[in-house]
Amino acid sequence: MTIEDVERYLTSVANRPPTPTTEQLSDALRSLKLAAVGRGDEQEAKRLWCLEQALKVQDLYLDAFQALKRKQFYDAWCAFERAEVVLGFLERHEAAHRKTFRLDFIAEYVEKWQSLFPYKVFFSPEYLEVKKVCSICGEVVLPRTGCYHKLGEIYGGEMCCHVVTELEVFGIGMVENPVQKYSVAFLRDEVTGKQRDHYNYAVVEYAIAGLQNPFDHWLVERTTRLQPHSLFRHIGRNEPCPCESKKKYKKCCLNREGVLRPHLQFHWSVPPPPGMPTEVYIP
Amino acid sequence: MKKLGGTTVGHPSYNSRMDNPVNHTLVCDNTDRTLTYWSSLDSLSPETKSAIGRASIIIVPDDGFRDHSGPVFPVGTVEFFRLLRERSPRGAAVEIAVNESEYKEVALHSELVRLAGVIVEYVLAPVVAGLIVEYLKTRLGSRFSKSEVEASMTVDQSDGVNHKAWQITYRGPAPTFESVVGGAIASLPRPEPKEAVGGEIVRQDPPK
Repeated sequence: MTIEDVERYLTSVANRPPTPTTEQLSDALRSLKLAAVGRGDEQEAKRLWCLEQALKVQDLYLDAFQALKRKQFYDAWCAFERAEVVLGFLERHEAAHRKTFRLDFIAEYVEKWQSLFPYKVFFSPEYLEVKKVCSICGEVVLPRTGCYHKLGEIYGGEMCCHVVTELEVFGIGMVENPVQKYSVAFLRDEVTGKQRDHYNYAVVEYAIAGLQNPFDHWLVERTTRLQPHSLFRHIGRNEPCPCESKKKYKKCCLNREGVLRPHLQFHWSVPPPPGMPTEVYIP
Repeated sequence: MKKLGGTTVGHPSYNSRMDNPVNHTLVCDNTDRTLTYWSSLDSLSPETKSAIGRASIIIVPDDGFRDHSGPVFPVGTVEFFRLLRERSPRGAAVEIAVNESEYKEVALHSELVRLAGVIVEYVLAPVVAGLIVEYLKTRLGSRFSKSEVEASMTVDQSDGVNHKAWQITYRGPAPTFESVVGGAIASLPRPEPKEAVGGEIVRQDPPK
């Protein structure tokens, strides 16, 4: 398999042929990269690293789409996050193929999918990096001394990272805007003691039900709609207002005409399957 | 304390972040932590003191964090320091106020990008503000336009007799950092002209 074969495969991501498989492609890329490194061809090794990452991004996006179809929402969330991270690594090195490999599309839609998830609170560690080393040469990373390798650059077909080898954890906090988004806060089941997924995924479910192909375009418009108080009789005066302002109901919408609730309007480039409800109320 | 424009806002919730523009806060305050202050710290070795004494741009640490009492720097400071060294004008020495063996970085919870404080000579302040933006663009890539940053720049206006400086602290969107902080630098009271050798009066204006 040649680099051009791999590029052709990556270009056809929206309608991938069954063979070669991702594993076969990864193996081929690894062999080609080793050969390039053996020849001392840094530029070729870097090009092959970019192709490896592009393949990873495409696979992660497709995995996330399939996980959504299977209603494995947290798995999908993690795959989207990993795709976002790899896209971040790739960004400064790969410009030529962003469109043809659909990387621009994936970057845009990863963000769109993330915005539909109900996750609002995340765990995040706070720590002191006492010692870290360069992943390329193993030298300790220090400001004045240390190696010449630049963080995020490609050397010998691998990206330079800093590996923390000694750290002191100060604590774990709960935040709304974490550095990494994997650590979603889940509740524990009081009876079994096991983690349970208490989130309402109705918006994500609605969006995925309308899509047949992961590369179809869609967009969501965010507005508000006034809902009558009769819909919220089950909510106490001192409970959080259903408009999601984080204020008490009595200090927010209760004295107004109704409750101004978030409203999402979906638009599809390919019509959704027949029988899909045109309007859904999500409590 | 002098508040210059902008408003303080809470963090919008994560999922609606993209739809809510975040305003900035800018605080400009007098400080006695000038370049001279940092080059005379007892905790620094004679070699570090000597290097810092020659510098016109110094990256400075936070004074401890939680239970850790030593100097700490935000994650990414090594890359920030190296970029300043590479890109600063010729003749402007860049240093970091820590002994090499004591260098440590702290990683915090949130996605807010925190930069280590920088002390800079008045004439170099606009250049350093531009370099901070260059660093942010390199580090954040396409996230630059959506990221929120917290950065502090101390502009040293000492004249050899009087030690005085202004600390400008910015928190807000990365794309508006340069214009907001640049405006703050321009609005600082100009230092007194100093007499050069031979009696010529030299006004220290920052380069345009």
